Amino acid sequence: MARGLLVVWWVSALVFLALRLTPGNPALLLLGPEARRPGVAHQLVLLERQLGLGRPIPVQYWLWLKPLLEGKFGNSDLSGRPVVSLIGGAAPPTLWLIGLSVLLSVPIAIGLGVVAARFRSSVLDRGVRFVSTLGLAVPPFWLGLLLLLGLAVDAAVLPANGYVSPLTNFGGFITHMVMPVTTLTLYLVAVLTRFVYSEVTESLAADYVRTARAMGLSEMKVVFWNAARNALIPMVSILAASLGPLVGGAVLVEQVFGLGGLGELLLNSVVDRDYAVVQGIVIFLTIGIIVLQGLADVLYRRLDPRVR
Amino acid sequence: MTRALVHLRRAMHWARHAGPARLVLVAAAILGIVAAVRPELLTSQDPNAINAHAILVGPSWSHWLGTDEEGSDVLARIIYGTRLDLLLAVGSAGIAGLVGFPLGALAGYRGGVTDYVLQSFAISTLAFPLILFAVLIVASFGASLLTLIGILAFLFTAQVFTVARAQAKALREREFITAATVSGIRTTHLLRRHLFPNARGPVLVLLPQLMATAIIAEAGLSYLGLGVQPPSITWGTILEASENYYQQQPYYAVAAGLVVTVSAGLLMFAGDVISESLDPRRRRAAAAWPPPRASTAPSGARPAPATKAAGPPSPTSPTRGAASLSPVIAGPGGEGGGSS
Repeated sequence: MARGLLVVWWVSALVFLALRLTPGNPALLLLGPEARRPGVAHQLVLLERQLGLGRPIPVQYWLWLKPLLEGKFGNSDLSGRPVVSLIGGAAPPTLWLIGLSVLLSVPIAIGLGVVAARFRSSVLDRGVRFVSTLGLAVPPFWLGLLLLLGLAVDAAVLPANGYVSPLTNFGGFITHMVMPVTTLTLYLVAVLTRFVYSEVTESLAADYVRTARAMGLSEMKVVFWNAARNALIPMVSILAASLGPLVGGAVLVEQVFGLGGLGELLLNSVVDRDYAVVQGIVIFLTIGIIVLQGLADVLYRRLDPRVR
Repeated sequence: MTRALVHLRRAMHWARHAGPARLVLVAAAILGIVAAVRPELLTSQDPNAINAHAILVGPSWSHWLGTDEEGSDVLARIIYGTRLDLLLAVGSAGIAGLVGFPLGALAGYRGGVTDYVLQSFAISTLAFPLILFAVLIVASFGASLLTLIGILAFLFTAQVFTVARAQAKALREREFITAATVSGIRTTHLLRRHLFPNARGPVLVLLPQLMATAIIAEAGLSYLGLGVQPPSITWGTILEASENYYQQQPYYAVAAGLVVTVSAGLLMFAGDVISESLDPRRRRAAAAWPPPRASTAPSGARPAPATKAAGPPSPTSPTRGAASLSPVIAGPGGEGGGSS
């Protein structure tokens, strides 16, 4: 609980400082170039008072934090629509992209990692390791662009961009999601395979695996039941820890494929200097990640008796 | 003169015993440093030359990787782009190491409330997706190399902190630390002689991986238009500019992406090699990828030179001797303690 409060305070302070410690007047920044015009001068004064710019930093921080704690994320400076509804509208493609990638990459990573660990220092092992290191080194959006070039532009097998809701047209949803999900899955598989490999290699060398082999259990059973099962529990924490990079990757990937999710909303808001939306998205995603990581921690404790 | 000769002989001895993996890495590092410091040695072309007669042409003898949308030589741009990318990678990872490591090692060793608070901050900092954090900062501070270094250094510090802390925490329970504490030596001495040398292994493994992350992140931010602004050249800006010419001139776009991929891959590989050479028993070699074995020697034991040569150079051999009394624990390398 104490840790939760510390986390929330730190995150909010970081966001506040990032938005307020700007060189120059934040109110000027919020109003944009228009602020210099004579007719807008009173708006500037109004905004400065509203933000409490003349007051000490802690007071400004509190003035900024209070509405957020009450769940008031404010309205978009540009369109005037509530930030919460903007985020709600843009979230589905991003969440689908992340969710589907996680669902796909977990079994693939387990398969690859276990096989590579079982046949250690064979060609198979080396291949898996090489591809997985490569997967971490490739910028995801570049991979996406290459896929796009190969499958959508030249061959025209798949639609190049856009998003279709699964509720309106499921087939369209699938065809539109294939390439983005593949791109993000490749990245996640690389992260997870590395991890599965190291865990399974370690547990294959453990005494209980030798015992299981000595008892005459079949190799399949030893590898998957005895060795892999124990090694895979920490996967929960690894998945939780990769959520940050995953969200970052999703923002880039959806930009490549024009999915129009949170990433696009975020970038457009940055360009339009729509700070209420920028701040809302960053807080929404970060709090989401922190909550999921907390849940993963709890789950991990329940799954693994050694941690209890 | 004799000193130089000694160094040369040492280098040759190292090269003979290093194995192909390390040789490739050292060659790549030298190439990268030369490209960053004296790019004109590697290419005679001007990276900013505008040539209206040679726009987006394919590879030829005069332009090995073709030209870009302004007729500039792509290879020259890539070579000249190395400087800022290397500066970004070394700068951010270096600051993170210098700040995060002592802080983390001290927090892990001391424990208590400060440790708890710092660890909470580190966890929540790591929950920030790098790209989002960068977007937030760049949105208000503007895009520049310094901003990028600051952003990455801040996030990397949290990562180094977490790893160093976990390591120091484990070391605290070991007998040699207890013995040193009981012997009544000064705390600074204990930290410098016993704790830091033994806690640094996993951090040394992490640093090249962070440098790889920095290069990939730079490319990503440039793609979003939030990176270093032209006319500064980085690999990210080249990649971004090439985005619209995939069909017209594939070499251009593919080369830009490949440079990022290969550099990041080599850096990650370097982390693996360091992790392997730091672990004397290689029992936990599984914690990071062991590099592919080139020789047919059994993976059990490896002659000493390789281990010694790849470690950090230690001009003060007495310190080294003292440090080797306390065994280095190889922690789970790059994973960085996801659970807490």
